[in-house]
Amino acid sequence: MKKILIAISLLLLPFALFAAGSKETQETEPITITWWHSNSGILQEATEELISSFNTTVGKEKGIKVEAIYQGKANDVLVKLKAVTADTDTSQYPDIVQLDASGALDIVSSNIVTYTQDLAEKYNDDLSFLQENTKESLMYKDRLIGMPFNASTILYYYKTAFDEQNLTPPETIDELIQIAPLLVQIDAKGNTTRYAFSNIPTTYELTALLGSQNGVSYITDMENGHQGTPTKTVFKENGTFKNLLTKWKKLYATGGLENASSGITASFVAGKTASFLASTSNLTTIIQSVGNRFELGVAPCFRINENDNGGVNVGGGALYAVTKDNSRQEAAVWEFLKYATSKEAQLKWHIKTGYLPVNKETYEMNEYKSFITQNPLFEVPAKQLFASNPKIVGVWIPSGYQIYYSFMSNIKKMLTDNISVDATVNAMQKEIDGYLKDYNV
Amino acid sequence: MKIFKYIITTLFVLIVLFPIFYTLSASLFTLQDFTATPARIVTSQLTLINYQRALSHNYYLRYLFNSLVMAVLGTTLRLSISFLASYAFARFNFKGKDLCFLILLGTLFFPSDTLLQQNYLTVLHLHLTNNYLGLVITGLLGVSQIILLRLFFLSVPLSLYDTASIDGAGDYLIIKKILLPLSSPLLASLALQSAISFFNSYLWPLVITDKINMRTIQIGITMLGFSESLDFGPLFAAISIILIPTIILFCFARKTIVKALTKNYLYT
Repeated sequence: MKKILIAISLLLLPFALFAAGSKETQETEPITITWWHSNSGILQEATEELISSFNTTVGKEKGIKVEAIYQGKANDVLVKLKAVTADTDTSQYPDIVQLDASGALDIVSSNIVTYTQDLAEKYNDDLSFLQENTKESLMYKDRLIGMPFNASTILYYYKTAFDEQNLTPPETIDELIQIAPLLVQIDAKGNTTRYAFSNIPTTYELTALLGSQNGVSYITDMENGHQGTPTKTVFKENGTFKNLLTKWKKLYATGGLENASSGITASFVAGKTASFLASTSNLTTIIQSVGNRFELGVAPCFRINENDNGGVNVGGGALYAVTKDNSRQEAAVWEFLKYATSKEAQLKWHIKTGYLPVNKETYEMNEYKSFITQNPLFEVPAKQLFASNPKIVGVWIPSGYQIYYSFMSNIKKMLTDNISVDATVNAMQKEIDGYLKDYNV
Repeated sequence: MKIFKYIITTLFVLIVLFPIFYTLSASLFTLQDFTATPARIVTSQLTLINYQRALSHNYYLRYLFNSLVMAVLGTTLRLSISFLASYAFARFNFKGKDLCFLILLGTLFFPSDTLLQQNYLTVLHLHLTNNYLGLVITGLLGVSQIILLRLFFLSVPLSLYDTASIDGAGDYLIIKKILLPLSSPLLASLALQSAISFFNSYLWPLVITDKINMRTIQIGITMLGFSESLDFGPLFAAISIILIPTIILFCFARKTIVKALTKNYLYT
């Protein structure tokens, strides 16, 4: 019994060592602001580099120290943010939180965050340095809600399988349908050893594939949720989904389309598929993984109709200023947001991570120009970004996962069970309108 | 007939062992091995670089230590509470006993995720964030353990308790001399189960800690970020390392667990 008591008291010992104690910051002491993020691996390294360069320069001058805290995956950050902000004690709140589009609806339907537009107006700063598309991607009811930070777009990745046949990357889905049979490889047993293209379009791809049609198109009303909470889908009435699926079926009929939704990057690197769609933020990783196995090519996302000219939307994430009612803290946050989006910081971030600079001036810098001369693949997404209509924006919807799954399962079923395009569009409209209706009740 | 038995047993062993074997094997893979066609089972060259990279992360060992502390502390406290509570439910008669038990059973129907926010606020107000006790506190009430132990205590013949009482043994002696030795196989398997669930928990430790030196290994692994860069080698190395405590624990407790299973303790 004595032994057990000793063991338990030994186990309890660490509490004494780790008892939490938070110190109040004095007016004269340097102020510490915390930044919650989900950046792991290379992104975490880039994050650390960014804050250490801030802390040793501007931060040192103005008495501000930024502390970055990894809080799990993007969704975990949101879960934790909601838990913390349920309490009125703001001392546990982060000062800055980095979220992707899945968190936007929670941001605009609560008072957790002070809009970036409000901060800029309060401190008399100009936001015109922001690249137009990245800025528009974070507009809600014509106000900028967060600071664009890690911007990306969708991109078409392909391998030199194309060059063997003197083909160029397809500009339209019709071209892809034409070249698909040339890219497929089938072994003696009749198994497909290489597909021409792998994808099941879901929310991410559809924002661009539907959005680029008719100038600008949306998936839901309220301009994909940027003018208010979406109440219904509009992809049926504007006909964009039908256009896409009609051609998608033709593509499937060539035998070149692989109905896959995960592990595509790995199978591309292994040479099991000739092309796929993915975020520009994966470019650095894919270049590294491909190594010198084959020559990697990237191209803008293909269009659905010959005359589509909308382009692609901006994805990625943003930095949000959490409301704390502390003017000194708020001023420090604003200082850091400006630093993180300065042309120099965005250049470093771009080179290290592959995310597109959100500062227009970065694209004019000599260092940037010499970087893309040496790494020409990075120029493609930048050109695509500037050529796109800023009004094409990501969807801010409730029940994101259910909607994602509805797209995926219905499109997959359409191909494998040979269901008609109209029936598929109707089924998705019914399901997703149901989710939106449930949310708005 | 015997050969059938062997074949089926071997098949099951293979099914169970393959993922563990593959994890260990993949921890030695080079970057190219992961995307080779046809898929590889063993590495193309023997290198420990993945282990080196996983361990070179500044806090990896600290995360591992935190998880181990969490597992040991949580298991000890949870088992102590379960043991004493189930003894009370099995042996004592008090007002509202059935109601208390019913309420306990009722808690089984709440998914723990729905309590996350409220639990966080409670623990925050107790000033237990970034603290080992805070990490385990929501897992201390093991209702299913209480149910199992209570059933076990009820299954002990009444005459055994009576004989002990006649010889002058109080609750303390009964627990120490009779129930602890009798239930040790059951306790060992419950301990193993608890330790693994504490060791593997992710969301609660994530919510309750901010400081990097209080993070646990499951968070640490996602933080390494290797999987996003298709660089699975160090990830498998990291997973292989965290498999070690579980395997050691299992080796030690193997006999008692088998005893618990064969004696049907878990189903009484």
